[in-house]
Amino acid sequence: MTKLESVSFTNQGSRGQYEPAFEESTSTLDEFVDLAKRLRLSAFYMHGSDKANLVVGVECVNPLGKHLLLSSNNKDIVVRELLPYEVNDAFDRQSDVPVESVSPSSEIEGSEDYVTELKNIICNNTNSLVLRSAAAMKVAVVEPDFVRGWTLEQLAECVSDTEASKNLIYLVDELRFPREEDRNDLWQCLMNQAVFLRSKNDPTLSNALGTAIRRIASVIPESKADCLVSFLSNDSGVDTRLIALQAVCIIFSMAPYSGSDLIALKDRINELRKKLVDRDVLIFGQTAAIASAAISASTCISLSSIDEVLADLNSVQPWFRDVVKQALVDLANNWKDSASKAAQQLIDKLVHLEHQTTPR
Amino acid sequence: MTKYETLRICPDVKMNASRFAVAGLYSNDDSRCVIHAGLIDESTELQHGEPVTLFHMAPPLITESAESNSRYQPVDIVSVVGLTSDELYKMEEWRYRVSAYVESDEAKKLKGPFRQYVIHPHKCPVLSELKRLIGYRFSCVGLVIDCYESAGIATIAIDHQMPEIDEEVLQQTYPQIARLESIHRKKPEHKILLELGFRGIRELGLGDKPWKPILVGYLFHSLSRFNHLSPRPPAYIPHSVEDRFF
Repeated sequence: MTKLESVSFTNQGSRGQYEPAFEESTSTLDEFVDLAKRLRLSAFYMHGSDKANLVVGVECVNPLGKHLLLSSNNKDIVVRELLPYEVNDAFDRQSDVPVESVSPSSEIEGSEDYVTELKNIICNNTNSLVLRSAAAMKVAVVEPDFVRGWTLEQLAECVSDTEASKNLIYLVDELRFPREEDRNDLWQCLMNQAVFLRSKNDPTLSNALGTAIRRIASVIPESKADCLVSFLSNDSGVDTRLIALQAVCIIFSMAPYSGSDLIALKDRINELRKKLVDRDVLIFGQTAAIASAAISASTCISLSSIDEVLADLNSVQPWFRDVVKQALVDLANNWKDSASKAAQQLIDKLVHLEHQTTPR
Repeated sequence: MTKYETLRICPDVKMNASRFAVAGLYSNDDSRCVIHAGLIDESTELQHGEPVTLFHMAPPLITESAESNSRYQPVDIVSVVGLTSDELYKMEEWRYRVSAYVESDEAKKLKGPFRQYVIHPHKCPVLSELKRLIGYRFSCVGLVIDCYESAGIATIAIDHQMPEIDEEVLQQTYPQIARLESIHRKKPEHKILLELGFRGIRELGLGDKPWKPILVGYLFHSLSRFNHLSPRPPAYIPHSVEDRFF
């Protein structure tokens, strides 16, 4: 049974949706759940699971509290740390317990042990990679150097393990790699993982796949950007295509592409752009987001195509022109520090678009 | 017919809240200090005590609905701003674009809630090792400001200096953050902080003072002026931290 420090409820809540005055205390997590039930917080109940009921308890406080709880693997700790003072605030307006006076509990003294314990989990090869990577995520907060090398090693070795692959992708999304050789290893390993996840054709993997694509874009050499073209194909999900287009914009967020390669990527982006930037096709929401991202990506790879882009925009709805204009202004602002004159060129071109736009 | 207004959701109040209306939560001390804001994701007839579907920076960035795992709690205050169809289309494009950054439940659980979150500035670029722009972190109010800005609607005068806040105001307006910070000052490697990925308020933009974040209450003072489609009021300049109350 999970331990919970005493939580006292001594008065009616200020929101007015709780039961009248009561006086209770709990010493275990299970008792807490029972108490929540007895207080008939049923308006907040969902599925009756312990987890859901506990969410109810914190939900009384504010949304962050709830998500802190949902995010944590050690819910008893979160409850202990967050509820004593918050519950007093929420339920007992006469509470005279200031925040600072509430002890952060004995867990503090055990923190070094906790880091050591997590490191032991990471280093133990008999543990599952899922468990080890989850531990690594926590250690990364205080000792990123310890985690970096291990993560790259595991990412390179991880094959055909969907769950581990997802965890490792989320982990490298949290870490930063200052060494260039590490970054080269990183994007190539991530590319292998992304191709593997995509081959599963499983919508539940789209989030990890999207994270991998974005992380690849954050470190890949510009000249290698062509490898993203496979995520823009028709058999990639719509969400994946949007993220791949956003990824192209990430790669060229500091300066537009100045070379003449990347033919396949450029052609595919232009194909998408031409298909979607059409008055008969363009609708708000998803289609507009992809069309706008395609225009930005196309401008990143080939600034010379901007005249054609602006010409196409003549035929579409004014509100979409405004969306595109804002996206391109943002792009130009990002390029201002680059040595090229691309930012000014783009701004100059957008002046014409401004004249075409219907005033709001 | 939908009215453009800002209302406290009391027991006798019913309100037609349209998509992209802004919902707020009060602190629990009866002071009417607004501590959270989010965007209503589905038009609804709002009644006291009824949960609503929200797209918001909890943190993390999430959509909460009756269908999702955890129903969102009732809200305390709602602003319905009149929007033209063009403005709505622009906000829909924004909504879909930003949705690409909503993490799966398992990713949120693993990473902790704070990686997408910032208090000050209200919107902060996230850069890679190569200084490439990967995305943005938002405060809860920052997400709403950015949504309206995507439609060309300036709610808060973001280039203007905001009023300075102190620890007391921080504790009232960000109670959970203040609590975690008090733990962080005593023990940065505390178990709960490692669990949640909390690295202290400096990481959230509250480093050396003065602290001048955009407080949620400012937003409702701004939106309460948007009663007509035209003319639109200018971006709101908060007078003092007292504007955290509404």
